[in-house]
Amino acid sequence: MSNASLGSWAKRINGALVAEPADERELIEVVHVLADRGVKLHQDMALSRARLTSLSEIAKNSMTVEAGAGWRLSDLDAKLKPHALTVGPLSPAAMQLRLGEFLEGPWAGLRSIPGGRLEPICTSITAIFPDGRRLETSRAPRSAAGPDLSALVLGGHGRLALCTSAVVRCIPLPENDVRGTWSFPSPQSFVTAMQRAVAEGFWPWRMHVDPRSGRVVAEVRWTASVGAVERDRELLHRCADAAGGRPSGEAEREAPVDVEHETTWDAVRSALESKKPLQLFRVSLTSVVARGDVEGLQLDTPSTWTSLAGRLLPLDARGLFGGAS
Amino acid sequence: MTRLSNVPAAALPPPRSAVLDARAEFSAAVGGRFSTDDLDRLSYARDCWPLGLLWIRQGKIPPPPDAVVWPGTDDEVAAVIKVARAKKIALIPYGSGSGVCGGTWALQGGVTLDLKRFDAISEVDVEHRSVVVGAGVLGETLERRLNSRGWTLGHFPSSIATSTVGGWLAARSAGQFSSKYGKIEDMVLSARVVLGTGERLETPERPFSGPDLLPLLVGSEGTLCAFTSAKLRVFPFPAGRVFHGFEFKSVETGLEAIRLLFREGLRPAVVRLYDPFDTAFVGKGKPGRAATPPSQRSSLLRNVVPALLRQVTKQTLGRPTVMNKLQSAFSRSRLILMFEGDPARAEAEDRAATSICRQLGADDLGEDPGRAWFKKRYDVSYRMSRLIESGTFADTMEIAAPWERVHEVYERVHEAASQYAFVLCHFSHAYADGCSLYFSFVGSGGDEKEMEERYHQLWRTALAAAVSAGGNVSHHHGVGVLKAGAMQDALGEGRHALRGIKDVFDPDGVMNPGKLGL
Ligand SMILES: Cc1cc2nc3c(=O)[nH]c(=O)nc-3n(C[C@H](O)[C@H](O)[C@H](O)COP(=O)(O)OP(=O)(O)OC[C@H]3O[C@@H](n4cnc5c(N)ncnc54)[C@H](O)[C@@H]3O)c2cc1C
Repeated sequence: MSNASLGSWAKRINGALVAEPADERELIEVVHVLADRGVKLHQDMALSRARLTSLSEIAKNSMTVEAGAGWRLSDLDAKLKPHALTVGPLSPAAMQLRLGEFLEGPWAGLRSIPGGRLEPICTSITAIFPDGRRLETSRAPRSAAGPDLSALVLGGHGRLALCTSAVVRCIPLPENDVRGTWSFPSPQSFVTAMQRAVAEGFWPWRMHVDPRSGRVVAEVRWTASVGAVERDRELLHRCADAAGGRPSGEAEREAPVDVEHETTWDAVRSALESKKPLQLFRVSLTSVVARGDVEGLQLDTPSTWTSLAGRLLPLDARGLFGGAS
Repeated sequence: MTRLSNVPAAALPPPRSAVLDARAEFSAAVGGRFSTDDLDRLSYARDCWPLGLLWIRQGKIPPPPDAVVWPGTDDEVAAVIKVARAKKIALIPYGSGSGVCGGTWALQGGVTLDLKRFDAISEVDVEHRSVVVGAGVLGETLERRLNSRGWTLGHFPSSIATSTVGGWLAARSAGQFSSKYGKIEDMVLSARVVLGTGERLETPERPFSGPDLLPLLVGSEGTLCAFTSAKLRVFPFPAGRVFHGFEFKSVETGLEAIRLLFREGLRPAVVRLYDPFDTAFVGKGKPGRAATPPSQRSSLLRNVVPALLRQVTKQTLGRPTVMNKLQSAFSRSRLILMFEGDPARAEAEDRAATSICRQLGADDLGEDPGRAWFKKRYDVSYRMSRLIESGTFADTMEIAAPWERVHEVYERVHEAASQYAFVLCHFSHAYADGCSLYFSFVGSGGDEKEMEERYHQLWRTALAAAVSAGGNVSHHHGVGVLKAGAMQDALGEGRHALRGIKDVFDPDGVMNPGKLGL
């Protein structure tokens, strides 16, 4: 198949056919051409959204910005800084992704918020379905108007709908970057203290946890407002104390392997019991993102869908977006 | 058959023959718990949609189901669905009928699937902070059980005593403490459901690969599946609570305070800002002065508003614009905050909130207004039917908008609805990027027919105003029949995807037809 015959958005990169639409209209054209030619995305042709880099004005009050799916999160973050905003404390690997990849990939676009919950980083998503139709979800912070259709995009590996842009929730640029270290008598006491603190609002950016000395030494790093960090430190102090922990000196900060996993607190405890150091990000009551040798969902490569999610595949009846990976 | 003395003869149509013909199969599917008794059909021919109350006042009955079944296991639900699919009979999942949008109305007759026999509550899994609850468990029963073990769900809809876990999930409910604990979709870790295909499944807990089915089933209002149980996140029962009331010179300043609070990362469990007229109802609230607590609005709403309305109705031929204009005489806006959890943390967050409110020039009202609200926090909602009995129409509309749009949505909806009813509003359920607006309407008209017309016009105009000003269609009451058209419009081309999901999960269209516009 010649790329020229497909459209100006079709390219050959290292011999492989790649669609690189410049905007949403071109992406819709791509989808129609795929349908006409029986070409399957992700299989016969790759998709690059690198050119989808539109950026709206920043909505200062709601701290949101509508960004094209091609924005790399670290670049978007740099754009936000002069406005005293940031995309928030995401894990280092997540910051290297494009917005579309972060939303559609195994990260499912999730970040933690104070109170231990996970929520999508965006309020509203715009996406294109295999029939060329468009999805634009509400910009309101929450809704009860039927099912949440953004679930067709988040974590969907681009198999049900292709994200073109999203209204990203930002947070204020932190005033403060503070570290504190606590040590715990056991992995269980560390996990107990964390779960209790997270439920009460503890919201760290990163934790480096090292069990190799016999005790579990956790260095916590916050990037938030002065007041928020102070409240969090005091809270963590009480929760650590109740679980038998105490403030400690500097921790070893040797970074474990780069691969990130989404994992459970049970798996964190098991890894610590096996004396494996971990770095923890996106800390919530539901799950955490961990670097290190830990069981969980590997985040840098899409793995096979759960069989339940597979039930949604008939939504792409002709398999134009490539079926479940 | 039961005789109903106060229901006119032939008020209920006889059950459809298709359902009567399938009586034996339905009955076998649920171990004999099947009824076509008129009393049962009448009992389930309703929810709490105020339109139904208007109809009942006129002697009209909302469309009844042809029969009711009471399954007790997932297999029984699946067996009922199998019969319904084979005979093309509608099924209407039913929790407790506290929905306010007609979600349980049997628009095409059919069989109501009452899920209250799913009433099991597991022990709390202390390590994972979760509990597994049957879909038919009432909120109050669950909360009491959790409290007795030292835990809370943190979900307190005003209807807690009369709504079920399944109904919460189906309609994406929010409780009064949602600003800290989130909405029901934030609390559910996984759910057990029977799809419209009859398949039984349990959604996975994070982490997993691929899209999450749960957000597609939550909010589906019985149109895709029946929830039979759910694993919910629980929190330790709060060791401390701090209440604080403030009064601002305007609603805009009050909204700005809430926005700044959330921007700072504070998470009060309760945030309620009353608009000026609502604030006027609750008293001037100078510190030290006995203010009428917000919860006592109920008696004002019950006695004063209808009396005033009747009076004004006579004089103004039912044009509430006059009463609404009175509102411009008021400007001050009252905020109630409540922080709970770790006592020192709650105190620290309250101190930070106080500093923000003071910087915005708020009067500090101390803890009394909040405590008074807390004590009577369930009272107001249950006065609605009495208001309607007193010869008016009344309803509430809850929507949400990003911070940039909140004030405009407030003004536009207020203006639109003011043509038809007397309008109050408070703002609650706050987030870092916006909040919910909760409007209360009380209206009147020359006669029942005019009143019903006004009721429909009010909803049409108010929802259109909300959406065009940047708000959404519903924050936590769901859609049902009432908002189906508005929801479909708001979805735009996305409605085809919703239809696609319906075709996958309920290919024969037997699950709650007519709701969500499906
Ligand atoms: C006085 C009053 C106050 C209220 N306050 C609040 C409030 O603060 N917050 C709030 O969120 N709501 C509130 N509501 C609305 C209502 O309580 C909620 O919508 C609630 O979630 C409905 O629960 P239910 O069990 O009564 O469901 P029902 O009314 O029986 O059903 C509602 C919808 O859900 C479907 N459904 C019910 N159970 C299931 C199931 N197991 N599986 C699948 N579908 C099912 C039904 O088919 C229907 O479409 C209030 C209502 C009243 C009358």
